[in-house]
Amino acid sequence: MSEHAVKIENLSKRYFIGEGNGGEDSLATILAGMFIAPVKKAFSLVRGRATGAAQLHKEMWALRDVSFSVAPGEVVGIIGHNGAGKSTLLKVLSRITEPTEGRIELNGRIASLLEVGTGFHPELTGRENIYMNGAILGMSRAEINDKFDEIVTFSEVGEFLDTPVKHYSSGMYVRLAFAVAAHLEPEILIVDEVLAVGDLAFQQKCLGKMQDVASGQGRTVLFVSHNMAAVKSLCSRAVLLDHGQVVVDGEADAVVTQYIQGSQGMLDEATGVCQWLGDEPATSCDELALRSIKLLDDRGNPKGTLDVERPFSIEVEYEVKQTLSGLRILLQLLTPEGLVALATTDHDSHAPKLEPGRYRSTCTLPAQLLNTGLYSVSVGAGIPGVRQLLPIRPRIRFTTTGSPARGSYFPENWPGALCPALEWRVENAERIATETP
Amino acid sequence: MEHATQNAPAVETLVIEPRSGWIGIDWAELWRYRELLVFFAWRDVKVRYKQSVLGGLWAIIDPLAQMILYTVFFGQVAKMSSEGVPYMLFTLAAIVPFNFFLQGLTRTAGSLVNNAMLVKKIYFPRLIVPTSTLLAGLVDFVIQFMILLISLLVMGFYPNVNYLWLPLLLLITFATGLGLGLFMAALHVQFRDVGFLVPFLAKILPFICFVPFTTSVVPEAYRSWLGFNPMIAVVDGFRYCMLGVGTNPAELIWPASLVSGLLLLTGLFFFRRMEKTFADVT
Repeated sequence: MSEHAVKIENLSKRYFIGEGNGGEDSLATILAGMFIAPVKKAFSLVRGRATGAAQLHKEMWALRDVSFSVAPGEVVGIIGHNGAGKSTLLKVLSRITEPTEGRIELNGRIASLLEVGTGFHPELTGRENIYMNGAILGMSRAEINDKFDEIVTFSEVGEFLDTPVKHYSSGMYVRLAFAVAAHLEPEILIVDEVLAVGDLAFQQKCLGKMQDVASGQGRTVLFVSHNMAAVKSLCSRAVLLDHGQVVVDGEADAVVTQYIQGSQGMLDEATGVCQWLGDEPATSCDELALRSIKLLDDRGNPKGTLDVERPFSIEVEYEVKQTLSGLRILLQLLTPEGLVALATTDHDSHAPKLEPGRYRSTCTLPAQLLNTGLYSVSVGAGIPGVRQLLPIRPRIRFTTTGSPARGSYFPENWPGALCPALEWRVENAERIATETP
Repeated sequence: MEHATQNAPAVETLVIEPRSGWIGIDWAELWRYRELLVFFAWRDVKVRYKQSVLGGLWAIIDPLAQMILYTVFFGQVAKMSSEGVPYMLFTLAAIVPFNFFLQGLTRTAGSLVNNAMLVKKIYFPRLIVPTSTLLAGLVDFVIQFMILLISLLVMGFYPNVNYLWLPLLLLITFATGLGLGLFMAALHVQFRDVGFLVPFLAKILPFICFVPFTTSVVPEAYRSWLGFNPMIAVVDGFRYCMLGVGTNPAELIWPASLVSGLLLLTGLFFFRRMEKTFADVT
């Protein structure tokens, strides 16, 4: 066995970003763009200047001098906020794109679970797609034959095996896709945020399968996730990326803690707190900047896991940088599938004019409203009818526990984006009919 | 473990490094992925006529409609010569191989863009995509070739020793189609202009390749130059083998093989050179 399963040395990846379209889009400029620009482009191409249809201008280093190695059988979490370079690293590792500089040595077959199901064709049946997807991932037909039954069992699509997958529900689709990829048995497995899809039970099953792959079969796993609880429980080691560089590399618990306490702030299920100390494009504009979002239980403690039987609050803290009138903070609760379960705003409660300063809007949600599962909170800000200040985007997630089956004695899974406690009345219709004249 | 691998494969080492300039072709890797090639081709065939009422019949309607069109306008109206054989057969014998080329070229040109999702998410040898697309066209070709054979038999033209040329002519068609297709597929990723160019080519290519009418309109002195368009050699070769008219393939085969071979080779290398940018640009 070789010393390293993965050895990354001074890896860098540069992207060119097309020049932003600053000017106004009048018909004249559009027409000029359509007819004059190609001529210019053709000329510059002939002279060997431009390299493509897009005028390539600004460069951006998605990865800069990244070095680390992974021993065989090690499970390493790769964490960092959005845009830190995690996805680029995985793309380079899985050979989808080439590095600009540096070198990677891989000992063993590598497979990635980046976006499961991309190889699926909607017109083909589940069975056909299993073979197809297996082949795309580099499995031979014999290998797939060996594991076929196992894949079908794991995916729970059973009777729909010979139905075109375009008729599948999104849950079935993902389950089948994950099942194929999970049975690939590569020496090195790359797992991107695949667990954000599917219901909670299936997510748990996937995590279990990954644990199997890692501990039982002694395979090397690179695991990218925003789910810090999963990183902590699955990984022995974690690498924190920021702006394309390795910030910390060490024991998972310590790195995760450092990340959570880090200045960047992020989506986190473990703590229920998300903070931004500085101004970032995603959370600030000239007039306003988000500072923190906290999920507080009924005793005012920040929590990443909330009990559906108790009320809780979502507290948004922001800095108003210029005097604003008509501001409103928008809040949406999203289900794991990305559906808006509810939307609410503090518009009514705002003073007509806000002077610069720090403000806090808190929304309290009643007990017995939510189902159990993983919810995301989207936060945005704007002046209705005038303009949007911050786009409404998912910014923090939390898990709910407890029993959502209200009105039922029987402990069971209950469907619904929301499970509010509602009033029921049962009466004997016959008796009422005879009693009333 | 639950499923022991019978013979644990030796751990292979893979080095990922930036590459520049011209890149060779990794035949060993292509061989490893041969099943994927077949799967992709099979998928294309299976999916092509889904959700259409006439389904696979389109593979037959298309050449027959062209045949009638050419016969009416070039045979009846323009009264061009078919060198003594029925005009329908004269043009059908050309349409069948030419359609394989043109359909293949059209589909291959769009293949990478159509499979952008895959190319952006999963690694596999990119050459598989255009090659399998072209291979999928073989199914249509076989069907159309059968129609052609039956028509010939009905009209009293029987297979003869000249049919031995056909595999070679088909090979030239394949090489030309794949070579040009690779250029177009790779360029299409960056320049959507290819999407506009291809339908345009599809309109003029049949005429440049003498599909609707005879090559005898070309003065005798220039006839031997026609082979530098490999598809003329193929089209006229099919006519010669099946109907005994047109140009003997022996006269055009050398320039045609040379040009189609060069197209394939340069196409392959051009594709490999552009390959590394596919995932970033598509």
